[in-house]
Amino acid sequence: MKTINLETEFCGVKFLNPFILAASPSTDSREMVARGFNAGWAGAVLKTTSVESDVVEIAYPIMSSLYPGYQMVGLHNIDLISDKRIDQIASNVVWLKERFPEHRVIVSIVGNSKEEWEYLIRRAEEAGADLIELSISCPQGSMLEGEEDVDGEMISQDARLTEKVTRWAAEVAVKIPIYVKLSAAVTDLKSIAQAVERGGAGGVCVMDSCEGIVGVDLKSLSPLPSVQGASSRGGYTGKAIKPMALRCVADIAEAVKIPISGVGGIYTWRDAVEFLLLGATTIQVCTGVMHIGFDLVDDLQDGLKRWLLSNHFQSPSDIVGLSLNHLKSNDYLVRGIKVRSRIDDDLCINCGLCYVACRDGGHEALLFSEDRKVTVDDDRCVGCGLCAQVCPVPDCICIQAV
Amino acid sequence: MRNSSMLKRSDALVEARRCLGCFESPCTQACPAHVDIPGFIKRLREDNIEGAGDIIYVSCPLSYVCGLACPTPDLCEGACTLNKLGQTPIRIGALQAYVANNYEFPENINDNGKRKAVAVIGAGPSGLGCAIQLRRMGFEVEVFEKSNSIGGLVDRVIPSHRLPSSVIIRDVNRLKEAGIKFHLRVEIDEENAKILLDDFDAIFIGTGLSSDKEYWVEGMENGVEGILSALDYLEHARKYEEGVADLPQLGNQVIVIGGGNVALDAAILAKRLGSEQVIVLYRRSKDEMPGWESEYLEAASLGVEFRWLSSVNAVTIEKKKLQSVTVQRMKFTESQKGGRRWVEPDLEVPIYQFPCDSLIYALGQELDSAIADYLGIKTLDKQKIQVDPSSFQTSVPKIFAAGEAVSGGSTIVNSMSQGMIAGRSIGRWLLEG
Repeated sequence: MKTINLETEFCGVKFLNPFILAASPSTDSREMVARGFNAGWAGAVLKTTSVESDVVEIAYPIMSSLYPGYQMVGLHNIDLISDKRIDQIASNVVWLKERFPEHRVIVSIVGNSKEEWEYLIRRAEEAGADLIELSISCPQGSMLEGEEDVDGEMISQDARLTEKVTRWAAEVAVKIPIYVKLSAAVTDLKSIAQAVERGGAGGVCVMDSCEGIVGVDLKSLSPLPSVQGASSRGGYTGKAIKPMALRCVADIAEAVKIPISGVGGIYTWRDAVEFLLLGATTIQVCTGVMHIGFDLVDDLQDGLKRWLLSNHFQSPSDIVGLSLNHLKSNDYLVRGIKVRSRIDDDLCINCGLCYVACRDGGHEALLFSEDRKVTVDDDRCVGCGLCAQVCPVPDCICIQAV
Repeated sequence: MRNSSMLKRSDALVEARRCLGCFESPCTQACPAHVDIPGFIKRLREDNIEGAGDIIYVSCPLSYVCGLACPTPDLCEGACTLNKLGQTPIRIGALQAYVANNYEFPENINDNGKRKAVAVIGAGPSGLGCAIQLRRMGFEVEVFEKSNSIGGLVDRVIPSHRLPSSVIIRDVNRLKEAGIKFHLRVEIDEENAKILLDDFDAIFIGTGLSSDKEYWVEGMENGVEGILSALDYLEHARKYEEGVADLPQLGNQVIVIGGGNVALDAAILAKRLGSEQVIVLYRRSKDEMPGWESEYLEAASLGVEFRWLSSVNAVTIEKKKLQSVTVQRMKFTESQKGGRRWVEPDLEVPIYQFPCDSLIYALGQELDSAIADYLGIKTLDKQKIQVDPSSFQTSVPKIFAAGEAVSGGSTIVNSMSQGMIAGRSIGRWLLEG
């Protein structure tokens, strides 16, 4: 097979490939990060840290999920930032950079004041970090002391604060670039991204976890995960948030020129290609790794390489943003082309799931015969596509122009 | 092999998640009791086990028994849509048994305002199905059973490793709690028949096929050691497995005659209980064998041998002890009878002697037609009770019948379902009358 070079650049920093471990428990121990690098991850954002005086004590358990097990659609946590402070993180940076000079070590920080932000940036730079991520979107808390008339509950929900913090950081970080991690939970993501750009950041990362409540324990009536009978709002991540993350990447790609690191629900090479096509230049993964391990990166690289090759692209950067031209306001979509559902009788297993969905949620356009055969009533079918979504057999139902 | 082991909660939930939830599901259509299978599985996987239990028991009052004893590969599981995807079907029987084992809600009994009572003769599947149906409609029901156990052949001949008594007891207890009265060791003789006719507003006959067909070949004598009916053997073996009887003694060379499930079960048990060589002789070929494929596979996997197109035409007995059988090779003829190819002795192949210690015969059971005579109802050549096929009413209006006594050899679930339909019919007749 012809090989392809996956080298990528983000904020002017070279990466061996676009795949970076996002800030999470996976990146809170230097030994785990080392294993991640050995598995093929090009970089790692160490779990977010803060100043030495900021004591973090995590209440366990912190994890819950929507549909636990292999079918898990979303992971939920009430985790906090790392309980390691900047001094420990700095020593981990030194340790990792000694052993992995080609890999990128990114320090994620959060501060409560200008002084804290500036101090954290200096410490990260001195330690030899390659990049700094400003964590201003974590649902479990990021706010500045003494600010009044602020929108929202975290820095990134307020454009003015976002720009201010970004500027402090950008002015102090003289040797290495900084970028800012944003949230989908904002009124106008484009204006927040523009504030980041104005503030002087080298790039932007989107999206952070979604603030949520994943469920309630019906015995104790405590939300999940229950910590001695109570819980807090938490961060929801994983497959379920991918559509929101893709939308955020596209929104920002349309609004600013600085590069984007895409994160949110990436499990497969297809997900990764989609993020690149909508404007991301690098890909961060947290939940996928927490769920199925560091080796995930092997399949991500393999799938991305093959897709690039078979579509005659030279590198990941060739495809960044290519789908944005195909993303339009609904008003501009073509109307009037007749499309209909087409069912492959050879593949159909006669389960009737499409029939029920169309009957109760579509246009009553499918017929279910005595011998369980489903046929399309072309006069009633509008080609909405619901049937194809509920069919359990791959490729059995498609929507075609007629 | 069928599902004989009880699922753990984790197994059940994982298995339940595989169900596609087909529309007008083929599994339900293949179930003689029409259990809403996707419906109960959906509730099970949503952790609503009581709701799942409601669904199975409303259609199948012997849900625990059927979950373990139904020939599911031939019924629901055989119809499962997942087969079409090349996957193993949902383990429906095992899931149903799991739900049944965890379901505690009692039957819902209506009061119909009438004080009418029905006598049910026979505590087998059809009798129990009929009884609970009538109880649900608010009638008083008393069941008369000649043996000392409830369940009929279910509790006598199905091997205990497959259907332990505890399972039958659990289902039967629900029926008792529903207010069905059971009278055991009551033989319906002429006198009792009169009492039933006088004391009850309606009678249901669910006696099944309760007497063994006679077996007699050349050289046969009465009271020979080593020659026994499969039903007697299975009943003894079941008691042994339940720990209430000694090991039935067979010897090392066992011949089983017949091709139905009773023959296969006897062969399986003979092998499991230690006989060295167990050979099933069947006069037709494997394709004609009425026993279930699953039973055949269990027998074959245990090392039971099969000789097709083989018939015993004589036995050699010395001092009241079986010595050998004479085996006659059969061949197919051109003619068909009852949908099956007919066979006749193949005289070109020499007969041979086969030394053996035991001969177990399973030639089927027949109707004990005496009860029909005492009650004055019509039979078809004393083979089956004659009923109207839609109402299950016999030639005497207040007497109804269903199950094997009407339809011939069948499955537990079929007989139970027929009993339920007959019960509804009786209920309607009583409410109208």
